[in-house]
Amino acid sequence: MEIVPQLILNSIIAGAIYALIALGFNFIYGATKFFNLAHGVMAAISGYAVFYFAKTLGSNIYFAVIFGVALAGIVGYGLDKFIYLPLRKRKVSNMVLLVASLGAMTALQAVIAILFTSRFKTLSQNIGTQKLFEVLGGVITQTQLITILITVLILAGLVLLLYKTQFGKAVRAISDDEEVARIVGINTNKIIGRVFFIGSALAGLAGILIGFDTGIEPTMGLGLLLKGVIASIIGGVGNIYGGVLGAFLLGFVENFGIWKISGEWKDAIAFTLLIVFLIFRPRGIMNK
Amino acid sequence: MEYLIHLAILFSIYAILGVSLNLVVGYAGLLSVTHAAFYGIGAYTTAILLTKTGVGFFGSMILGVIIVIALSSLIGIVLSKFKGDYYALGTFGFNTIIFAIFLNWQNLTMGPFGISGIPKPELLGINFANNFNFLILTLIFLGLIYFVSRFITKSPFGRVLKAIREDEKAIVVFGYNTPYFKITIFFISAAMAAVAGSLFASYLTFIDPSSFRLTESVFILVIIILGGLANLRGAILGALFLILLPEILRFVGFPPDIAAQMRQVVYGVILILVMLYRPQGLMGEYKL
Amino acid sequence: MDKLTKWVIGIIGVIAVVVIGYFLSESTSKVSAEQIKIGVVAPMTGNLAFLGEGIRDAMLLAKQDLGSTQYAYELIFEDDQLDPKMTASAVNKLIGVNKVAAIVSFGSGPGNVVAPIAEQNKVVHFGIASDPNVAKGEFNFIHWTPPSEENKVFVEKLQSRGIKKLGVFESNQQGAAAAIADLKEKLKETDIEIVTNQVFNPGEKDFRSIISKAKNSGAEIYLLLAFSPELEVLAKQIKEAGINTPLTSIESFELSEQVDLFEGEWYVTAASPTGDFTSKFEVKTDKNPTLGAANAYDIFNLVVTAAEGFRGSTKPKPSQIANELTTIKDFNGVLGNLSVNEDGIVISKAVIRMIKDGKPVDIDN
Repeated sequence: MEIVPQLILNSIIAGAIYALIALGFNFIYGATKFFNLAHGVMAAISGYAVFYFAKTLGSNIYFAVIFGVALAGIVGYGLDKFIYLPLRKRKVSNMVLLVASLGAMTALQAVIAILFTSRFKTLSQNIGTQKLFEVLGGVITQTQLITILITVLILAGLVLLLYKTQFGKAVRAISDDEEVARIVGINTNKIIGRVFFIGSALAGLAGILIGFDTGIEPTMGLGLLLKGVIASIIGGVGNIYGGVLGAFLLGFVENFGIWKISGEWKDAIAFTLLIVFLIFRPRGIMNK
Repeated sequence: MEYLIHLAILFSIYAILGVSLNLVVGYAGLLSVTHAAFYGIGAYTTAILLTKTGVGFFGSMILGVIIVIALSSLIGIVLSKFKGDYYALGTFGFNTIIFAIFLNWQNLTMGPFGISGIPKPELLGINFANNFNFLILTLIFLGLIYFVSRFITKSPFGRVLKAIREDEKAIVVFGYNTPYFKITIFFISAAMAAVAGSLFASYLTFIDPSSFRLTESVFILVIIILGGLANLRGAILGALFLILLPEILRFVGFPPDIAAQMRQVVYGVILILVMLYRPQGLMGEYKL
Repeated sequence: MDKLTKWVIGIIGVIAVVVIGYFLSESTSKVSAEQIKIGVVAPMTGNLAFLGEGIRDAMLLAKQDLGSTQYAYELIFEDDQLDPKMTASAVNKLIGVNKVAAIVSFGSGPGNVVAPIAEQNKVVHFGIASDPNVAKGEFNFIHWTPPSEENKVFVEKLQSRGIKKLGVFESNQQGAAAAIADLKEKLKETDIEIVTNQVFNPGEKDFRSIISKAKNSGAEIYLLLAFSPELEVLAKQIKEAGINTPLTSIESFELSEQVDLFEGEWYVTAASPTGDFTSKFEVKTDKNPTLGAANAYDIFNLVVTAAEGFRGSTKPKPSQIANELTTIKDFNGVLGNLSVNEDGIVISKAVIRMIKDGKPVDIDN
């Protein structure tokens, strides 16, 4: 039974990453109601930016991280401004946005591959010699601990943003009903643009943390995104707490699931969980 | 010439896939992203029966269709409870699970090894190793499926489907049992995909799970979105375009190290542009 | 049909006509009497593009290193994304349009797709694949150390070290599955037991829980049947889990960009590329050779040797090249001493190496 504490830790670590993606995704989905396939690529963008600045150019790591996160935010903002917003103005359906975002994802991934090749890279300097911590009978690395802390901080930050600022209020209004929000005088397009910036930056941050923990590759985005989406749905789409809750639940189910079932079924387990929720509780845990 | 015939065969197979998916997505308005799973089951049924038993090609195709009808009906029943984006996500889940089965049920499917040496069909002594003959066979099936689809869409059944797409609640009020319609068109579409799968397996003589994952379903969806939803000729045109495009790009002179990635960039940009400037697709009537 | 649609269809039609015209004309004119074309099908985009790039670079290197020859050799690279239908398209294009005499493919899946097409069109096909089915037929060849060779050496080493309990981490793909199936057969005749066998899917990056499962199995050594990038992440996470058990592999630790992870560990490898090849490759590309790159280099030279060795007044046809290939024995390749056997399989031997101070060194048992 001594495996259980480690499995719990593993679940929390996995959950923290899923949570970061889910937070960004949920934030954007809440306001725009469309499934942005390009969201995952933001993680790759930041990861590679940090790789370039910190490892290739040798600049200060904190500066590289800030720049990387900002870059993801800018790209996300750009996608909205030049592609999604014009489409929204024409009242196209979600499928069109989905395909457009697929196009964006394909093109962006290819550009990253051209600039950096498709080889898997790691952001950490010393390979395999991370500081380890013993927690509750299991082992966790420094990067993983930082990831969990950052997730909690971001959650707190987003909650503050949503509930204690004017901006947050506007975002919530748009999430409830965009038409009404516009009628009431909110500049929905501007707010949504900023939502894209923040959401994409969050995905970027997740990408950097993953880069330090395992590594980066141009196509890392889609897999991450799908997990983030599963987390959002089972937790409750559009609900900030829901995304995080769903993420940790997903982490637990995956890791305990493969304890009893062999490792190659991991993805099937995640999607089975999704389907179960879609059948029995499509609104997710947190939504009434 | 062989090259053109090969492309024509691929085109025909994907045209079958596009036309069949269009019945569900374009006419009934259900965003299904699991078509590759049924395609795969058809392919594997043919592959397994032709290499391990004495069953012939056409027999295996019939069996594949039967299996797919049974399975897709079950899946369709589950899916009929989901709405909008959730429907799509549910289908993602099923595709992933069925892919995991292809990959891991090694006793049946040989898992990652794939199945090689799949023989060509035997009929009246015609030599189907000659690709031109195979092309004729494929075109015959495409023709049959096209006419069946056309018949369905122009029938009262088809009109109900369109009504479901436009406003399901309204038509329920009139007493129509909408789940029945949705499930029926779903399994008909799946059965056609299985036919395409059988043809694919025999043509390529080798299949492995990698041909039937989620990305393949997305590819088929893009075919019909580009070609135009709710337009069967559009689906055929879309298949032509998406099969030809990567081949055409082979001849455009990009510098060799980035050639392949540049093609992806072009592909992604084209998707975005088509969505921006012609979202109903090339021949679509149904604006997404 | 509205006007815009007609325009779009018109444009597609025009493009199609142009393309068809282009290569129909290409195909009748472009192959000179002194030129032999070799087509290469490998993943150039997608997750595994780095492998295709490595193969491309290795073959371009081989061409660069070529001295004077009777015929001119041209390399044409096509992307297949390791997707069987794209492989078929690429191969058909290379044969039909470019009129290649030989095709090189990468991976058992693509190899199985190319094999019947090559046989039917009478074109030489060299697969970098572990599945022996790929070599079926007189035109098909494989250059890859067979799993049984590697396992023979591996089991000997385990026995000489007195290891009785083996733990296995296995990637759910062709190459690894073939190796483990063969290994299990061989272990039946020994007293070595596989105490844990954890399987994961390629693309997975979180091995922590399967590592936890393996932790208390009592394994004396862990066999990592994985390829980059999973290999490095797996090794890293094993160490992070506080496990200090030795690691080994039946593929090259030395091909990894993070060799330090494997410092002090021994492993089995196809007679690895000579230092010469590795340093030349690094000079050209600034990177380590990737899986199969050395094989590709050898294949180029084998095909050239066969074509040059043909005694005839005109350029050899593919069937004649294929014939010549089967006669090649004791060829000095970068993967060691190579001979082509009658099944079209190039046997290269397996050896044991160890990573010492970040470099691979041969060790005797």
